[in-house]
Amino acid sequence: MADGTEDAVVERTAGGRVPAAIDVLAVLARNRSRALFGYAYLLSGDASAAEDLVQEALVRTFARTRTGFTPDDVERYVRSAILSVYVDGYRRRQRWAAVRHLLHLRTDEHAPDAAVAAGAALDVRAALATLAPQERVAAVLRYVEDLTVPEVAHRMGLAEGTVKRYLSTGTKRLEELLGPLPDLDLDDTAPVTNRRGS
Amino acid sequence: MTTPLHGALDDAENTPEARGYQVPLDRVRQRVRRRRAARRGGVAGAAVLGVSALVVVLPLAGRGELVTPPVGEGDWPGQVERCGQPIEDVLGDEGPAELALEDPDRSIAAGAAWTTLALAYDPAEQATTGWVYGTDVSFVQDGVVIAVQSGEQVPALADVDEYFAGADFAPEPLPLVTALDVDTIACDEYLDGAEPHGLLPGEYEVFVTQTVGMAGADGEEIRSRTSISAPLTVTADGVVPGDEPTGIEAPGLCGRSAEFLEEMADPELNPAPLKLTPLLEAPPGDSGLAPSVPAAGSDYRFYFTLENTGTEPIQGIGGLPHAYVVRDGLVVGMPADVRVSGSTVAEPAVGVSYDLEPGEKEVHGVHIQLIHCSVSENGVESADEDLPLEAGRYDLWVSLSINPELAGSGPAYSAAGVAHGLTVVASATPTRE
Repeated sequence: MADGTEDAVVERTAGGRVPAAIDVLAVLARNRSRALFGYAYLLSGDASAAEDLVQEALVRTFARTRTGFTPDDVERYVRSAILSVYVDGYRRRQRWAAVRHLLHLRTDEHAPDAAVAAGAALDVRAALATLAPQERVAAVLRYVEDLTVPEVAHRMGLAEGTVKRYLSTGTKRLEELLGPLPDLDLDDTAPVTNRRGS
Repeated sequence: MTTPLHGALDDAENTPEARGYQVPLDRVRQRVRRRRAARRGGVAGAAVLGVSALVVVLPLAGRGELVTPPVGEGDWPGQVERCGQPIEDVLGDEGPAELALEDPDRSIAAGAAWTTLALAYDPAEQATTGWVYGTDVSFVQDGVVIAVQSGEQVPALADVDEYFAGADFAPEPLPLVTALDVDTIACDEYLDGAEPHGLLPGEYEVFVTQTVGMAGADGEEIRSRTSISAPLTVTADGVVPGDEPTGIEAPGLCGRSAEFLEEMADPELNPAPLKLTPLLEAPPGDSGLAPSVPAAGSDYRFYFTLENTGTEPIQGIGGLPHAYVVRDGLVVGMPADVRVSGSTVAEPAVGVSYDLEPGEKEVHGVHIQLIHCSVSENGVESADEDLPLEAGRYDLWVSLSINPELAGSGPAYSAAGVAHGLTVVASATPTRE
């Protein structure tokens, strides 16, 4: 990641000179837009949803005054916010979907996943897009971010058993499309593979 | 071990969509500034509301106006978080305060605002002053929240310190009276992207949840978050079939004979074990509106005792007592929106808890503005502030209804009593007889 020096209006702190938060935003936007979008895209399976996720995550992160953080620090916050926004939004929509029939409202809502998958080349992204949202999030965190099952459960705010169920269902579906994935009996507390470099 | 998914993130970053994407920096910065301002504005606005007046008006956003509350997704108002939740999951039941609703709208037109007065008080009377942190309103069908109030969300009790950090609330005497004029956000407007439509016709239960702080005798803050509900019918034109004024079968009260009050006060015609007896002096410690009040046209406050004259406890929910000004046997002054069916007064206020053991008495105060009521051409009654009562002699009556907390779980009672005669002089203090 670029250090963004040219964008940074610096301020004095006890520890030296650090970029002010709003300038870190400029650095992040210029250098990490694609990476953040890609992460959101994998989670949501939908390009416009990914744009919304990135934007909201940036607003959430930078609306709280933070100084003394580097772009790397902030990117971790933003990625975490992307996940939170997506999971929270999914839960809210699920809650609404479960009761909206009581209210005699129109029911033309459909999952974006189907449209993504239909007729698309079944590459990894398209395969992920065929999963239910919670399954997709669990798969991305486990197989792409290489988190352990307890870590995935923590990030998603779910019980480990629930995550295992999502992973089991999701993995079977992915294997149908992508070929064999790691043995599900693999130690849940270990990463699937070596951690990716950031 | 590697998986086919190992490089998925890199792949996603290199899709055409990702390569063509750039964070809309100006838009993000604008939203960041607005979100920060909303946080600061929420605090400042709440502080102003707390100190400006006894009546605190819920801040409302105009329809379609962007709202940036402290929580929520994107620019969604935070209260949308309540959408789809079972009402029991969002009610407040913390702290000692209780809440009552005065004159809640029982029927409104689709898309119209819902109004009421919310009164927060300490039933244990340990606190004498308090302040309102905020008021949430949820509109419920089938036990599920389907619409919420526009405007800012009220923080949960546990989040009050963080949300209102630095805010200073000036205590006001209890009860805290909040005038609510609630525009609504229907949940599908946000969650399904529907066009703004407000409340659609149907039957609703409206739940008001208020977060308050109260100052105890030792000055220590007591926080409370409590809820109360009222039924609401929404129709296309705001008129409930069968409830519209006809002038004969379901007449309004204004100008009507006061016989219905006399019947309610007659123990033979109304055997309800409730007795309303006037008090000629204000009870000790009541420093509010004195019994002696300004001239006609102003508020007049008086007191009465409510007594359980039966042999069984009376427990239930009722409205605040209502006062009527009667002259020559006709009702000439009364609160707006009170109707009568037969000899039973349908009082719009609900939510005050009554619990009287046999023989127990409670003192209540009631006030009425000494002005004429009027009936419009379409039968709508109102109190006319431009038309004070003429000088002369009047009778003041008071009525009260108590219903079981659960419909059908016990008897409902209505009672009335003549308070006292009152001589009103045009521009001087009225004299009590």
